[in-house]
Amino acid sequence: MGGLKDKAELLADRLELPSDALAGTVKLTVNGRRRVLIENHCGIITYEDTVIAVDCGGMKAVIRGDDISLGAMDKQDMLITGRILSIEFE
Amino acid sequence: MEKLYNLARGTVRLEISGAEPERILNFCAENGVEFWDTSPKAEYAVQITVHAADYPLLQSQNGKNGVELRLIAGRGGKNITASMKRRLALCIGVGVCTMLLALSSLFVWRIDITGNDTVSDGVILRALSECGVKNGTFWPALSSDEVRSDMLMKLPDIAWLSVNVHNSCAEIVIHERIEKPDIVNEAEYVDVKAAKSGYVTKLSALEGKALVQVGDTVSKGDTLISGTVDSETADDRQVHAMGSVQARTWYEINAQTPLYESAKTEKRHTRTSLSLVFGKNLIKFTTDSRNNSLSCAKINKLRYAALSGAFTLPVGIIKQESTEFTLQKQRIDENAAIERLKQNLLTELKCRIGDGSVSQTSFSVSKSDELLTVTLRAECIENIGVEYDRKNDRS
Repeated sequence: MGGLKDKAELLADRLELPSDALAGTVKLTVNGRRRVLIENHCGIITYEDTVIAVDCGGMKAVIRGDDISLGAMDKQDMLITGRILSIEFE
Repeated sequence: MEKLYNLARGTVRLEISGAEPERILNFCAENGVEFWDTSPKAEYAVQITVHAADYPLLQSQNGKNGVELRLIAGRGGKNITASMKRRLALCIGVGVCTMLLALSSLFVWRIDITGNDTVSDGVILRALSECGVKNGTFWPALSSDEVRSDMLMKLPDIAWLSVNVHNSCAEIVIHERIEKPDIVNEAEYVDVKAAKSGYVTKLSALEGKALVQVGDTVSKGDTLISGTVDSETADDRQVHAMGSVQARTWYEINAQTPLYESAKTEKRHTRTSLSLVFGKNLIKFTTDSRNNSLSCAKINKLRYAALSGAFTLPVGIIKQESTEFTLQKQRIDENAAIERLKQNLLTELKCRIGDGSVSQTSFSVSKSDELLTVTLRAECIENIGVEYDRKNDRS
């Protein structure tokens, strides 16, 4: 599935289309240091005070920070608030 | 508002513990269960708040995949209903009070009058009472237009008024009638006579025959401009004499004040008594016969039971503060009294000369045993001519 998703993403790049619309890839919006909005996520993997790991389909987004918490979450979107220190993809 | 909504729906605080408490969060997201106030606690535990209605659905996941759910607290919703059942009498009381408040807001319990200067509040309140607006009136049955029409008929000094009723308080806004200026009736035959004695400095006769000249000295009541004009072809012609006669006038005005005054010395102790106002009735809680003497200052503060903008009740409390005092005779501050009297004399002089001007003033001060007298001598320039109707002579 991951391979198919990569190909869809590649096709979207070639056609100069937004990849999240065509391939349903994850979209992260960072507002300053205190809010991260994750769209098209596949669930939460780890939830702690200092780290939140989110399943983004073929990869994992790890958000590290101080006093970070889950502001809101539904099937597609997730809002993380707190002092964000780093965002890593694994 | 959101908190109130959540309280009405009811919320529960849950602790999710186990190897992967995130599974429950994902389950909530998958199934559209709204959750908030998430906070990770210790290791492998997360606390969340959800609506009470969603709790059974989450409970179905209890024990699955090594995750356990524990109810920490519940607020609102059914909890409120349960607590209300325990306090039935209180709830009924609150309900009855709310109903009485809603009913009482349909009656006028307070009347505020604004905008009146010459017509007193008492006169307006009496007229309003005759028009059917008084304490206890059922205001939805009132017609503002009818009240306004009746009031304008009853009180001719009022040009216009508006009646607004807000939450048991009738607000009456008054616009008083402005007096019409005097209209010169040129058909009347009048002379211009001297209102005061003086030395004529300027004369300007617009109509009629001037009988005095600049430099003449005139006494009060002398005719300055006559309304009888000579005619070469017929008898004397009668006109409405008009004009202004400027003259130098002199004034001597006295003002007096006692040299001793009674000074008030208040006692430290202040007595406070409360009374209840219910409609037009006053219920006193204390009988304070000792403070009925003249040497007692009383301040009454009336406060109605009301919530601004919401309702007003016919119930109020009068707080009366009584402070006894003693009177002592003491000599006044003479310099301050002299200055005050001088100012009063100048104000009186300005009232007497109207549009005229003051050329010269001098003051003299004299004292007797009990009185301080200040005398103002002033020279002024003013218009001394006043119209005088000849009909007054005939009568």
